[in-house]
Amino acid sequence: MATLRRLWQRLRHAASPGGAEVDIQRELAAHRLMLEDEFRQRGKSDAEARMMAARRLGGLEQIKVHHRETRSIRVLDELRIDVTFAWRRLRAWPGVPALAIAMLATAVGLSTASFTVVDGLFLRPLPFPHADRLASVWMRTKTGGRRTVSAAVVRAWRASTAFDNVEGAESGPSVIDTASGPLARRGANVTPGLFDMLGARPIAGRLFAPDAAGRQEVVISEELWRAAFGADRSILGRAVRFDDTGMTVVGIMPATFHFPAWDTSFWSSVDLNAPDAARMVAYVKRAPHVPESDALRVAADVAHTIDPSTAAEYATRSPIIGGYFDKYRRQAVPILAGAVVLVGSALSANVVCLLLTRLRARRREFAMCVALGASRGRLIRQAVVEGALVGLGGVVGGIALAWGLVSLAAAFLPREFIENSLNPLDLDLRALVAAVLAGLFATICAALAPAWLATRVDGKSNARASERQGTHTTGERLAVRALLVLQVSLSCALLIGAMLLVRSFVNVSRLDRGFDPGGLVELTWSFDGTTVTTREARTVVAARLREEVLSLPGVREATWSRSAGIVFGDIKSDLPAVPPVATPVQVTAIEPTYFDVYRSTLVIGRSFRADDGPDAAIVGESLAAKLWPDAQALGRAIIWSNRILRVVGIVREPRQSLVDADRENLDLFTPLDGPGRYPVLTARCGNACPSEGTFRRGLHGGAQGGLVDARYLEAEFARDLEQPRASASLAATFAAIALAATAFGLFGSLAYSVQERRREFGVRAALGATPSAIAGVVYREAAILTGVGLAGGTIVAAFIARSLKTIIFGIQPFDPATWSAVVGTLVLTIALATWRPARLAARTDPAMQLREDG
Amino acid sequence: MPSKTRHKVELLQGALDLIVLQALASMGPLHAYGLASRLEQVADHPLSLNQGTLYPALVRLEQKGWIKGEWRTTENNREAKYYATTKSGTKAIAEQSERWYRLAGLVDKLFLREG
Repeated sequence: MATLRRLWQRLRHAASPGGAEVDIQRELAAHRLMLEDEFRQRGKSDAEARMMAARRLGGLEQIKVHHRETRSIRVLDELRIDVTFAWRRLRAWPGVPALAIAMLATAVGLSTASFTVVDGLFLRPLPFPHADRLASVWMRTKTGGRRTVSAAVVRAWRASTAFDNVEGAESGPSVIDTASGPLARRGANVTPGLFDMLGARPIAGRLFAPDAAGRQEVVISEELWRAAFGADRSILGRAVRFDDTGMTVVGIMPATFHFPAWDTSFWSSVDLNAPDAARMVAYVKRAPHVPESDALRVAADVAHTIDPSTAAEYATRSPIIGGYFDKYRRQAVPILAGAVVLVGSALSANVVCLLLTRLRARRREFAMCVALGASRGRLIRQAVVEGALVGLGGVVGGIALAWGLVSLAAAFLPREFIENSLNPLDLDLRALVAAVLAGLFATICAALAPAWLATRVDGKSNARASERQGTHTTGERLAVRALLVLQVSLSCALLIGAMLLVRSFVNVSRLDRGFDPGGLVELTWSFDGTTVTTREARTVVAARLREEVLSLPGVREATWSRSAGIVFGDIKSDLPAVPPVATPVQVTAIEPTYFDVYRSTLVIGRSFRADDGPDAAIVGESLAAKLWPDAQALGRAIIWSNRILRVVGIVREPRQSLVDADRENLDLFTPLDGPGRYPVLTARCGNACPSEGTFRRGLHGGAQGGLVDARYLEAEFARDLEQPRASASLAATFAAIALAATAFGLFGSLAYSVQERRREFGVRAALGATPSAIAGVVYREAAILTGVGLAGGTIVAAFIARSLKTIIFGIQPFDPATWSAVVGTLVLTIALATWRPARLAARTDPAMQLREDG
Repeated sequence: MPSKTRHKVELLQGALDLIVLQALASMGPLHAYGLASRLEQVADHPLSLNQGTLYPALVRLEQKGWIKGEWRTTENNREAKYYATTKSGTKAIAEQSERWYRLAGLVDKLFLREG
C-alpha cells in the first residue's frame, strides 16, 4: 500500500511540481537561517555564520535536484521539462508551427471523415449477422425483366434445404391518421421472421410473434414515432388508423433500421397462407455450405413447380439493400474520395515543406547546443518532443474536424444516400488511428531531421551550415522546391475538377425544364381492373376524380394524361432519306389543357383541340430536329407502325429528371383517347399544395381508383440537384483548401528563403542592383515553381477532367474558359503570396546588413 | 582532514529513513534543522552527512504516509516545516525495527564467525 501510495505521489509530482519546488525552497531557507542563528550564538560573525551554515547544509542546488529525483520520476520529470521548453519555443515562433498544425489537422480531419463516409456507405458489409449469405431473390424473365414471387413460392422455398431462412416483404404507400392530420408514409408488409433473420431489435416494445402473421399489429420507425407521435412511449399498445384500418402499435424500430427501403416508416405482418396474399420480394439466408449458384437453381426449380407462370424464368439474386447506385453516385463518390487523397497529399507536402524550410536555422541552433556540451540523445529527444507537440496539436484539431465533418455529412448528405447502406455514419476509429499515427510520424520525422543532421559526429556540413550565412544546401533546396511544385500541381488539378463540377451544377440548376414545376403535382392512379373495365367507365371515374381534386383547397387546374409507352426504332419521318429514330421516344397521350397546366413552351403551332382526331401529334423540339433535320416540321407526317400522324405543334421537351440531364429527351404527344388503367392527373396549385396525405385521404374516385404515387415536381427537382450541389461544394472546398495551403506554403518558403538570403541581397544592393531587380529574383523563383507545377498539374487535371466527363453537364471537360480561369486564379494567388517576400527582399538595406554582419 | 573523517559513520542505505522515523516518534514533531541537531546530539560519532541530505529521506517518508509535514512558527519566531509521525508511521516503526534487528543480527553473526 505504502509503495503504491509513493508511486502515485511521485507521478503527481512529475506532472505538477510547482508546489513542492516552492516548499523545498522555503524549507531550505528556514533551515539555513536557523543554522546561521546557531553559529551566531556560538560567537561567529555574520559572514562566518553564513559561510558555515552553507557548508553545513550542503549545496542548495544539489539538495534540490536530489529532492526532485526522490519525490518525482526522473524520466517523466525530464520529459516535462522538454515539453515546457518545446512549448516555449513554439510560442516564441508561433507562425510556422501554427500553420503546420492547421494543415495537419485539415489533412487528418479530411482523410478520416472521407474514409468514414466512403466506408460507411459503400465498403462496409451490411450490419446484419451472416450478411454474406443474405440476398433478395427474384425471378428474371428472358427479356430481362425482374419479377417478385407469390406467397406459395416463398412457402415452398422455406421447405427447401438450400436456404436457412426465407422471408418476404412488400412495400407501398399508406396514409396514417395522426393528431395533426393525415400523413402519407411508405410502409412494408413483412413476414414476422424477417426481423429475426436480420438480427434487428426494437428500441421499445416488441416485434411480431411467429404466429402473429396477419394480425392487426404494426411496428413503427423511430422517425415516425418522433414526427407523428411526439416520441410518446404510451403509443405502444394504442390503436392507430393506417389506411382506414385500426392497427395496434407494438414496437418501435431504431432510427438506423431502414428496410426494405430507406423511407420505410412502419411494418405490418403478412400471412403467407392467406388466399389473397400479394406477390412479394423474397429475402433469403442461404444455407452455409450451399453454393450460391446451386441455391438459385433450386429456387428456380421449386418456383417452376409451384407457379407455372414462372416456367420461362430463372432465379436471380440482388443485394438485400443498396443495390441501386445511380450513375452520379457510382462516379462522383470515387472521384471525390480521390480528391480527398489529393488534398491530403498537398497538405502533408505542405507540413513537411514548412518544417523543412526551418531546417537550416534549426541545424545551426542544434550545432551550437552540441558545441556547448549538449548530448546527442538529449537534443534528439528535444526535437522529438517538439515534433510530437506540433503533431499532437494537428491530431487533436484533426479529430475535432473529422467529427464535425462526419456530423455535417450525416446532416446534409441526401437521406437516401446515407440510409441506403443501413450502416450508421459514425467516426471510423481505424481510419482515425491510422491518420493520427501517420500525422505524428510525419511531424516527428520532419522535426527529427535537423537534430539528427546537426548532431552527426562527422559535422563537416554542419559546421558549414552553421557558419555560412548563405542559402540552404542544394539537397534541402531541391526537396523544398519539389514539394512546392507538387502542391502547385495538385492545386491546379483540384481547381480544374472543382470548377468543372461547379459550372456543371450551375448549368443543371439553370436548365430550361420546358415547363414550370412550381406547384405541380403528378398524381398517378390505378383504376380497379375488375369494376372499371370500359373506356366509358374509366372516363366517368376520371371526371369525378378531377372534380374532387379541383375541390381541394389550393388546386387551380388539373389535366389528365397517360403514358402510351416508350417506342424503340419504330418512328419514322415522312422524308425518305431520314433513317428511323434509333433512340427511345416517350409517347404520352394528353388532354388539350396539358401544356397550359404544365406552362410548357410551344415553339410553333398549337396545342390539341377537342375536335382533333387520333392522328394529330405534337412533337418535342429534339425529335422534330431528328425527323426533319433541315425542314419545317409543322404539318408534316410521322409514320409510327402503320399509323400516320400529322404534326400540329412543336413543343420544348419537358424534362422530368435532372439526374441524367444530358440524356436526349425525345417526346411525342398524341390526343388522349381515354384515361387507361394507370392515368396521371396533373394538378397545378396556387400558393400551397395539399399534402400527399390529403390527396390520398380526400380522393377515391368513388372507391374505384387508388392513388399509386404523388410526385411534387418542384421538390423532385430540388432533390435531383442535391447530389450535383454536394459534389460541387465538396470539390470547391477541397480546391480552396489546397489553394490556400499552396499559397501559405509558398509564402512561408519564400519568406524564409528571403530571410536566409538577406546577405546576398545586401551585397547585390551594394553592387548597384535596383530594388525591382532584387524583387525580380524572388518573383523569378516563384514563376519557375509555378510554371513547372502548372505543367504537372495540367496532366493530372486532364485525367480528372476525363473521368468527370460523364457527370458534368453543359460543359466540355477541356473547356478553355474554365482552364484559363484556373490558371489565372493560381497565378494570381501565387503572385499575391510572393508579393510580401519580394518586397522584403527589395527593401534590404546593405548598410544595415553590413552592420549586422560586423 | 583524514583524521577527522576516520571517526565519521557512513550510513547504510535505508538506515537514515528508520533513524529519522524513530527520532520523530520519540521526540515528537521536529523541523529538519531540529532533527539534524538531534541526530548529531545522540550520535557517539559525528554523522557523515550534510544536513541537506535529510530532505530526500523526509520526502520518502512523507510519500509513504509515515510522516506528515506542517508549516508552523518556531520559538524564535521563524517559519519552519514540522514533521510528525502518522499512525501508519508508528506501525511502520515496529516492522522496520524488526527488519533492522534481523539484518543487524545477521551482520553481527557473520562478523563474529569471520572474526
